[in-house]
Amino acid sequence: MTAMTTPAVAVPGRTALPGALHYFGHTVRLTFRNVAYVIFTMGLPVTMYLVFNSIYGSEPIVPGVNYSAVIMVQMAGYGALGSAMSGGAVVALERRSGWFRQLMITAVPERSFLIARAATVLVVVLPSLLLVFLAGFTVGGVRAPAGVWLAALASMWIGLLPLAVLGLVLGLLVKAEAVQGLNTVAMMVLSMAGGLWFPIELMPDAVQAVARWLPSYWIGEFGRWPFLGGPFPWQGVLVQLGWTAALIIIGGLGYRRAVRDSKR
Amino acid sequence: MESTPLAIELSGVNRSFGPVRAVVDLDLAVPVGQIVALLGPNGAGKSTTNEMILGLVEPESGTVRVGGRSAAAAVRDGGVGAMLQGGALLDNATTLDTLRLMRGLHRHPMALDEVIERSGCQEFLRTKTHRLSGGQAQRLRFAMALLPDPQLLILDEPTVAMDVELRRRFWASMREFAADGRTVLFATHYLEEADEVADRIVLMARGAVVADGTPSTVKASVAGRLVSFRSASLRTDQLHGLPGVVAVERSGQQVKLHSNRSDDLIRHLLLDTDAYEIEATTPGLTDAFLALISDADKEHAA
Repeated sequence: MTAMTTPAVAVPGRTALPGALHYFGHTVRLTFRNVAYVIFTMGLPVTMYLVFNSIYGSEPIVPGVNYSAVIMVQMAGYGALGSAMSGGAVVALERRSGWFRQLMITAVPERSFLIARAATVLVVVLPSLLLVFLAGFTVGGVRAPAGVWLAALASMWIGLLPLAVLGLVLGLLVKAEAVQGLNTVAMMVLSMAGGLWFPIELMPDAVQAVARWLPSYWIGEFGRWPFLGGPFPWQGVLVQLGWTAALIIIGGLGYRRAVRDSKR
Repeated sequence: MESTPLAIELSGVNRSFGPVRAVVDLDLAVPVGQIVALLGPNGAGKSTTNEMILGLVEPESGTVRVGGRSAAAAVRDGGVGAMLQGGALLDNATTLDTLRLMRGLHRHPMALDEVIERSGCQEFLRTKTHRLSGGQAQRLRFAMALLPDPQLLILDEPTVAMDVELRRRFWASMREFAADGRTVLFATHYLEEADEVADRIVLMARGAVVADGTPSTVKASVAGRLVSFRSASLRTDQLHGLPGVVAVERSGQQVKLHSNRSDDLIRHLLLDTDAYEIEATTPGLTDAFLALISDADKEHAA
């Protein structure tokens, strides 16, 4: 009868998986129906892309590629980063409201809810990426072979995993009152220092050195390399994996306490 | 082993939150099919007891068995449904969204139509949860408790925010649900509810059971009478020293004493004090409740 063993013993995976999938499907549907969420997470990066693009999008960067492509990638990365992190913050709100406790008295173990929530985040960030890419094609005049677009999209999307987990870990460990502010600060620091707003070449040396250890930098890099050419940024794969592993460990250490502390 | 199987069995359960001892050496056995009211003032340990039966809170010592298995196992296999106190609702979703979402999370859920009918959620299925009235929100919480098609229902102050008519319908529906041998444990502040609805009342104070029995036994367990009167001069500390007094209630000049030596008390009041409008009655459930709680407080202070 200890907290550490009972759920695992009690749950023969049978209902846990369909239950978690069901939760995932419904949560995705409800998220897309939330108009405010859709406008802020999808509308904002597109708008920012259009503004920056009109200012310096037509500058050539390498032969045949305009700066427009780079801005597109960076704004897509910024938008996706924002929606990935705010998706995790919902957990903090649900812990405070007590909804999380309601979920805990079902057949699905709490860990499955968190995994399903991370999966939800990865799905709901896709439109943010796609919309900016669409604006890049239609308004920004970005042209490249289909393979390049797909490679940029896929590697950015997979590269977002540590940020989805980061949002979730903050949502689990930080109080609901603080999580919104902390999220905004973390998002701005990661975007700025990771070169999603301005190229990091414009930053002080110290920031440039740090940038290569940030997951946000590699999201931009994953999106840029198919357009700009050059070797695949393998270092980024290691950095993203490192962040993901570290965050899962931190979340794993804190989550049981966080779940128990959910509003009584 | 008793002849009737037990729906709930708590033995020697303790649980503290920081310095507060929420539940102290609690023993409670509820046979299958019983409707039990858990009664007590705020802080008596009712919610903590409920949460331990639901596996949301782990006891520090003692065991909790629900239908012969651990609380967590019972929750996972859909053996328990619960209305949590002030339980939150899902944001940005309608009643129907919420029910559909939650239904998929249970092992052998009740048919959605049946849940909606039993809980009375028909009129506001398309209403967003933040627009529900207090009574509607409670009905949705009741629906969520029914969804797992549980053998045991745990209801934490279920009729808060319900008006009289809604309360009546709620209990009718609950009785219907319990009629085929299911067990119900509900925590409440409303004594008349416990009296009318429950087969058995478990009265808690300071984390322990202070009375346990049918509503009439609980009433009868309080011997003595209630003596009420008015007095301008008697101070509260003097009242406690009067013959046989076990509980004192006072508002202004109006005094209500619970005494197990009521004849001596009345004699004393008439001869030695300025008391007037003296009246003696047999205590009802409310008075039994107050007397038992105040006994528990006294023992605690001693």
